[in-house]
Amino acid sequence: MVFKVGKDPRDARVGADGSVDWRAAKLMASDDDFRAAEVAREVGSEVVGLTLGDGDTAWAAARGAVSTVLVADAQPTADAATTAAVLAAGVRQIGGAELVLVGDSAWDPAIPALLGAQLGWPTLAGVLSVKVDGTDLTVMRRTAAGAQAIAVDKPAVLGVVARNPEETPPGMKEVLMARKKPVIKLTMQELGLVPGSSVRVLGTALPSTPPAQIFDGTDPAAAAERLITALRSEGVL
Amino acid sequence: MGMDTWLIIAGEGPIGGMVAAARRLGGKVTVAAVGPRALADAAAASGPDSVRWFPVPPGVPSEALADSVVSLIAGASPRVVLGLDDPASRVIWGKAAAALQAAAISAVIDLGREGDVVVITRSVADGRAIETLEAQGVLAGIFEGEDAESQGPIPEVTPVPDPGAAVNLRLIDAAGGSEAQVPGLLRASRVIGVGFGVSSREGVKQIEELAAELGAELGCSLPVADQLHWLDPSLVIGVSHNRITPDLYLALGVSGQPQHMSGVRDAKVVVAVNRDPQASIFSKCDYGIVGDLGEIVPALTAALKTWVRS
Repeated sequence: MVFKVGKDPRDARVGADGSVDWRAAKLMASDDDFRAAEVAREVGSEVVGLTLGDGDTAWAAARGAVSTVLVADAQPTADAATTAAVLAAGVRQIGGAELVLVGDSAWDPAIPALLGAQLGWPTLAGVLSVKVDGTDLTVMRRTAAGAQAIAVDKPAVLGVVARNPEETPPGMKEVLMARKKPVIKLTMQELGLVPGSSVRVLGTALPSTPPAQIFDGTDPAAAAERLITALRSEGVL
Repeated sequence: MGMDTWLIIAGEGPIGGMVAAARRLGGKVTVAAVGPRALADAAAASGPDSVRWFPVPPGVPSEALADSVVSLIAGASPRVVLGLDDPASRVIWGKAAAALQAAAISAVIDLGREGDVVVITRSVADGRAIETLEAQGVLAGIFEGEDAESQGPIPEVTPVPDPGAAVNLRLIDAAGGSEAQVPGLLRASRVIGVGFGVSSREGVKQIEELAAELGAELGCSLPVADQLHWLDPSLVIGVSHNRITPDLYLALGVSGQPQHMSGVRDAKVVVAVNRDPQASIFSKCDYGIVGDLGEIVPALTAALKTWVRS
């Protein structure tokens, strides 16, 4: 299962001039990664974690992975295709995977689809749950049209969404034992990859829409008055 | 290189906005619509140059048509492929991106061109900043910008006869039913969203009173239906649930996560009330109040009552 391949966008610092500083943001588990780990455990076969860069290598191990593969010199960039290429190479290197599970995060909606496409395996995103019955895989996934149960042939890639925050994060014992599990470090060169992309970031700026007008609610009646006046002037009240 | 774009639509989303962004490149804009005829018609109404409709045969999900769609797109060698952010569109788009060996960018809100270079504008840092990038080669983008009115003539919808379906994805059961979108919520001009920050059933009652005063429908975020069971799951607002376009959306105790906010992207005015001044929602609203919902909600109800009487 793939985890921690994105930075939490809430950790980025945006300056008054619109510059964005990502240095304080480390590669973090997205809100959906833990659900991918849960599904991996529910499916019941051996789980190997795969991550990049400076991610916390004990994260998957503390959630049931027997080992973790880390492509240490790869960092996610604006081009999700290059990130997906690293992950696909990692999956092939690990070998023998029947199922790749990845958190289908709103921060990185491209990754599950690109990873599946680069591996050439059937892919589904928005997955809620997975049932295994011998060699049969049944996936529940939802779109705005509703939930569907879909039979999927292995090997497959599934982008898993969490409906709730992680309810039982691993305790101290699992974390300490996790640190003892094997971590295999790979480099991009070993995977036959060359860093680089055909896209280039030109710059960042503050959004052109005016910032929100936020009222202090310490005096609820006053704040309510100010809001209603503003909404009347907008014509929505 | 040309500047033609293909747009992949297999679900709901800001189709008009995506067409408008593609139009800025000045090339041909073609839509691949995968799903029911109504989807293809909606795509046509946004004014691309043409719409190729891939009807989905019974027994398979839309993603099973990905190879057929990608074959057609690859044959056309476009410069840009855009997709909506719903799960089915993204999977088909991902295949197209891989087939074209395109650079792939998400959260695209606009496109432009400078000579032979495609300029991309996208939203970063949780909506707090805009990043501009340039692509020298083929580009695949997931469009997450605002919707827009159509500006062109409506093309005919051209069905693709017998699109082949892959056998490795089979629909067992469409358990749609109770959790499909709710018409009342979709049509409402005023909606109140109940978020996880509403701390009690008493809080929900106060909100119901406010909704009555405001003439608003109630919706909620996913955890409120799923974990707290305070509202029916059919009322969830989000990227894979109800996508609403009210004049006024009042987000109460809603943190502002992208999956939920995607469902109100095209609301005219968004108002947020939250106890946490750092909540994500405050960078995604037009107006907000930082304060205790238990006090603010009744204050709003009272102020509205006074205003109505005056």
